[in-house]
Amino acid sequence: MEIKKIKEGIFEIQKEKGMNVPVRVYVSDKMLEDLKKDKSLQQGMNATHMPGIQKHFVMLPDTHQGYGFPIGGVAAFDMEKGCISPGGTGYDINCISGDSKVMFEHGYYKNIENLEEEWKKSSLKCINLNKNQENNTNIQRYIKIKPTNKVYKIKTFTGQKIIATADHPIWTPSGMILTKDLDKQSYLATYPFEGVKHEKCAKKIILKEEDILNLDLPIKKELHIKELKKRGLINLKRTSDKIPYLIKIISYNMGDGSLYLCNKRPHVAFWGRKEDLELIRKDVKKLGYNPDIVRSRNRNNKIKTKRGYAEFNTVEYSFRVNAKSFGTLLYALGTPLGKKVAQSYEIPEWIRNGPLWHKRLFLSCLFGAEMNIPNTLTNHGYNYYMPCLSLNKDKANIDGGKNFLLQIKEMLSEFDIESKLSDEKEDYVTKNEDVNYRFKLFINGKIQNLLNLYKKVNFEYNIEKRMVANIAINYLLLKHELIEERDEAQVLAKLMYINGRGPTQICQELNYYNINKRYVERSIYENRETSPRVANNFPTFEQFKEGATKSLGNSGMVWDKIKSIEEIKYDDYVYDFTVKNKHHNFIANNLVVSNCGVRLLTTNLEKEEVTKKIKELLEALFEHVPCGVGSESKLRLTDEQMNEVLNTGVSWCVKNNYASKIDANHCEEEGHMKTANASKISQKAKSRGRKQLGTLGAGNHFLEVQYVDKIYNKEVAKKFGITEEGQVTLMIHCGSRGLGHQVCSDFLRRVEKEFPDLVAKLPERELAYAPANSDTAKDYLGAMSSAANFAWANRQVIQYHCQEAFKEVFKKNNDLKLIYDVAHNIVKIEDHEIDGKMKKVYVHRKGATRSFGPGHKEICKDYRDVGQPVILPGSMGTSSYILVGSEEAMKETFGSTAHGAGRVMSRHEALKTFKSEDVKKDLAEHNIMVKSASMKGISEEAPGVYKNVDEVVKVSDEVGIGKLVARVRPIGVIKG
Amino acid sequence: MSFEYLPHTADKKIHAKGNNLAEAFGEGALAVYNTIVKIKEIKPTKEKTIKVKSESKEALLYDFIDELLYIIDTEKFIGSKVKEVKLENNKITITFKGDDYTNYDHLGDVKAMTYSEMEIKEKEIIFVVDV
Repeated sequence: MEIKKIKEGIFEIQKEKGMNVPVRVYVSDKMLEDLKKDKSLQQGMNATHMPGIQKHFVMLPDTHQGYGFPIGGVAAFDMEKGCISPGGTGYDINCISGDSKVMFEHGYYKNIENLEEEWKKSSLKCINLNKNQENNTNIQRYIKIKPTNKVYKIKTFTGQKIIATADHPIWTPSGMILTKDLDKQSYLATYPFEGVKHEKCAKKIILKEEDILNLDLPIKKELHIKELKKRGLINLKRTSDKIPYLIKIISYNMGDGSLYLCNKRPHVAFWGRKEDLELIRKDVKKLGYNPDIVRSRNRNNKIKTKRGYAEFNTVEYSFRVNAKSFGTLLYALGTPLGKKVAQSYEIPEWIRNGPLWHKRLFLSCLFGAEMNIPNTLTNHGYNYYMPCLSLNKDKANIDGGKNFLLQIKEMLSEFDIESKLSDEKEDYVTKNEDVNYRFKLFINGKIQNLLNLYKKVNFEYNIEKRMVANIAINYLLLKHELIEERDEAQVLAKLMYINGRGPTQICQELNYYNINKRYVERSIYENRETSPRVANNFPTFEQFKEGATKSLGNSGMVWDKIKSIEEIKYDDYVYDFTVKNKHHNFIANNLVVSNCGVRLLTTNLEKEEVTKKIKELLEALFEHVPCGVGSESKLRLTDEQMNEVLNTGVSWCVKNNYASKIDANHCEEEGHMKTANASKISQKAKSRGRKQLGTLGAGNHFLEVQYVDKIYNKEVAKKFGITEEGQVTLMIHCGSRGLGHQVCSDFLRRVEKEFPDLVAKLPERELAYAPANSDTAKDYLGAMSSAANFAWANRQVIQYHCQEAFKEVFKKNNDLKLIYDVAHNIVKIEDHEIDGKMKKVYVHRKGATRSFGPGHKEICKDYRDVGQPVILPGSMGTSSYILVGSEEAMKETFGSTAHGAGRVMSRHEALKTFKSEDVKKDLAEHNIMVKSASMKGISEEAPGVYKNVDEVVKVSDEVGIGKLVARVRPIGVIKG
Repeated sequence: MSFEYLPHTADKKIHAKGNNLAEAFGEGALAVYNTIVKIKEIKPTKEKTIKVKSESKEALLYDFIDELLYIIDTEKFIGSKVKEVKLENNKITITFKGDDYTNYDHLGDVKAMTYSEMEIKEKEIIFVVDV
C-alpha cells in the first residue's frame, strides 16, 4: 500500500495491480494512523476493482471498516459499463488465504493459517512425481505465494476451480508447466481425495496399566506391560502420534485379519494384496514392532453356496506379527479375538467417541479391506454398483453382526453418507456343514452420496481401491456437472435408455432414487425439461478410467481437463485472489440496508424554557412517536396507499397533511425520488413496512432535543433558519425500518440466483453486483428509490408526531420548521465532472451525506445560493453539526461529506464497558436526559463507543468538503 | 442452549452448535431471538412452524433467518424453544414454541440477515446479523 499526502487532510492510496482508480482518504494525519489499525483502507482499495468506477474511491473523515465497502465511502460508476451493487465487499489480496486446506498424512486437512508453528513437525501428503507414488513427507507441498504478477482462473471439466498465479507450476502430461504457459486444452493432475477437517482431541488416556491387568488373557501380564511401556504404549493418550496407526491396524484387522491365541500367546495376522500389506507393515514398524515378512500361499478353495459348489485357486498373501505384546495391545483396544464369525463385537468405543478424522481412518481401512472396489454395472457403464460392506455371522450372532453394521451406518452418517442395512440371508456352508448368515450394508448410490464416500472417506491400505476411487470421484464430478441434482434420476434414466435398457430395468437399477416406473417412463418418453446436454457420447466409467491415470501410476492423481483458463482482469470482474474453500462469504450488508438518514428542525423555543420542561417533553415525544423494537405505526395504510407512499414519498405526506410544501422542499430529492417503482418491492417487504410508517425503530436511531451551542457562519446559519445561540432544535435520525432491510435481502438473493455464473466465477460470493444495464440493476434502482422515499416519508411522519408532542407541552410557540433532511445510504444518478466533462454516473453513498455546493440546481431555491445544508449527527450525548456543501466537495468527493461518527467498539464490548446507569448518570451530569425504550440500547450507544465527531467535522471543514455552520448540543434524547 | 455470541464491532456474530446441522440451525434461530428478548423469560404458549427451501446450505441459512425476521416484524412471534427440526436436501422444517414478544421487555432489534463471515460445518454454524 503506497500512500501519498496530497495536501493537509487529503491522502491518496496509489493505484496498484488490479485497482482501476486510486483511493482518496480525507482524514488528518492522526486519523490515518488509526485507520491503519483496521481493514478500512484495504476495503477502500478493494472497492476500486469494481467495474466502471470513476475518478477515485472516496473515503470520508468518519470512514471505518464495514462489510467490504468501508462505511463512509463514496463511489461513482459509469452507467453503461459499470454496475450497481447491493453490496460492495472486500477481500484479501495476498497469497492463498489462511483457510486453504493442506492435506496431512492421516487423511485430514488443516487450514494453512493454523500451521504457523506446526508445519515443520507435520507429516503432509505429497506426491512423489518421479515414482508416481503417494508419499508422506515433512516437506510442505502447498506453498504460500504472493501474487506478484498476473493471476489466472482455471476451470476444469469436473467443475473444479483453481486460482493460480502466472508462475505457479501445474503438473501436466508434458511435465511441470507454469500456469501462464498452459494450453487451454491441457490436462492437469488433480488429487481428488479430500479427507476431513482436523479436530483436536482431548488428551485423555485410553490405555492404562490396569487395563492390561484386567484382561482375561492367559498371558504373563507383567511382561507384556513392560514391553508396552518400552514402546511408550502404556498410558497411551488419544493425542499420541501412534493412535492413527493403531486405528488403521485394528480396523484392517477387523476386516481382513485375525487375532488369535496360540500357546497362550496372542498372534496377529493380516491378509491382502502384497503392496497393501507392505503399507501395513510400515505402520506396524512405526509402533515399534517388527512384523514378519509377507508370505504367499497357494490355496485351493471349495465352498458350497446356494448355487452349488464353487472352486477356485488363489495366491494368498499374508504376514504375521508375533511379538507378544502386540496382540495384547490390539485386544486391549477392542480388536476381536478368535473367530469373528462366531462372536459379536463393536466398533471400539474410544474410536466411536473420537474426532471425525479418527472415524475416517477406521472406516477407510475397514473399507480398504472389505468393501467392493468402485465398479460400474456390467453392460451399463454409467452407474456404480452400490458400495457395500458384508458381514458373516453364525446364527447366535446375527443381532451382534447387525449391531456392528448399524454402528458403521451411524458413523457414515456423520460424513453425510447414507446407507441401508439388508436383512440377513443364509449363505455358504462351512466344512462342518454349518450355515452362516450374511448381511450387507449398502451405501446409497446417488452421485452426491458416492462423492461424500470417496472424497471424505475413501480407502486406506488398498492402493488399487484408492486409485479407482479417485478416478471415480472425477467421473462422478463430471457427471454431476452434467446433471442438476433434481434431474439426476431423469437424466440417468435417459442415459440408460439410450444404452438399451428398458424402463423396468432402469427403475430397478435406480431404486435408490425412490422413483417408480411411471416416472422413468415420463423421463424417457416425454421431454420434461431434461438438460439437452446429456450426450450419447458421455464416456462410460471404463472408458474414462482408461486415460484417467495414464503415466500417473499409483499416485492417486487423476487427470482432469481444463475447460477454461482466463487471466483475471480487474476491469472486467471483481475477484478475490485467495484460493478460499470457504464459499459464500457473501458479505453484502451493504449499501442501502436501511436508507438511513437524518433531519434537523428548528423551533422558536429557547434553551432555558425547554430544559425546564425536558422531562415532560421527552415523555410526550415518547408517547407520540412509536419507538423501539416492534413499534407500530399510528397510521393504517391500505395496499394502494402503501404503494403511493413508496412511489411518491413526502409528496404523499403533503397530500395527506402530514407535511407542508416547505417540508417537502427542504428535503433531499424533495423526499420523492422519481426513479421509484413500488412494483419492484416484494410483498414481504411491504408487509414489513406497512405497520412501520412514522416509527423510530431501535439501534442507533434516535430523537434528540438540542440547542444551538455555537454559530460559525452567521450568514449561512440565518439562511438555514438558525438565528441565535440557545435556539432549540430537534434532530430525527432513522431509516426505512424493516422495509429497507427486506428490500436489500430480496435483491441480494436475486442477484445471487440470477447471475449464478457471475457469482460462481467469483472466488467469493462477496462481490456480487448487477451489471449497470441489466434488468436487475434497473429493478434494484426502482426498489431502492422506493425504500428511500419510504424513509423520507417515515421521518416526515415522525416529525408530524413530534409536532403534536411539542404542541402538547408548549401550548404556543411550538412550530417545528424543517431545515433539511439528508440520506446516508443511497444510490443516485447524478451529473459530475470527470476528466473535464460532465457525465451522468451512479453515485453510491455508503454512510456518507450529499454535500452540494452553491448554485447547484438540485438544491431548493431557499438555499441555492449558499449551498446545501449538511447535517452530521454525533453519537448520543455528543455534539452534532450543521455544515454547508461546497464547490470543493463537487471537485473532490462527488459532492459528499461524512455522515457522523463511526463505531469503534462492538456492542458486546460496549455492554461490558459501559453500564446503562452510569451512562445515564454521566449524561445527566452534562444535563442531558435520556429516555430509552430499552436499557441495553443506552450502553451500546455510549459516546465512548464512537469516534470523535469533532475531529471528523474539523477535517471536513479544513479540506472544504463541508464547511462549518453551527454546532448543537443535546438537552434530551429519545432512543428506541 | 448451544449458542454464543462472538466479538464483532457493530453487529451480532452468532455461533451455534447441535447434534446435527438441523439442530445447529435451530440454535442459531434461538440466538437471533435471544437478541430481541431473553428467551429464558418467555412463556412458550404459542407454536409456529416454518418451512424454508433453498438452493444451497448457505442460501438456506440466509433465507431461514430472513424468514424469521419477517415473521417477527409481521406476526410478532419470538421462539424460545425448538420443538422439532428437520433439515435435508436444503430444506428446513422447524417448529418453535414461543410467544408474542410485545409481552416482554425487549433488548434490541435485528435488522437483517447477512452472509458476512458465514460458516457452515457438519454440526455448527457461524453467521452475522445486522442489528
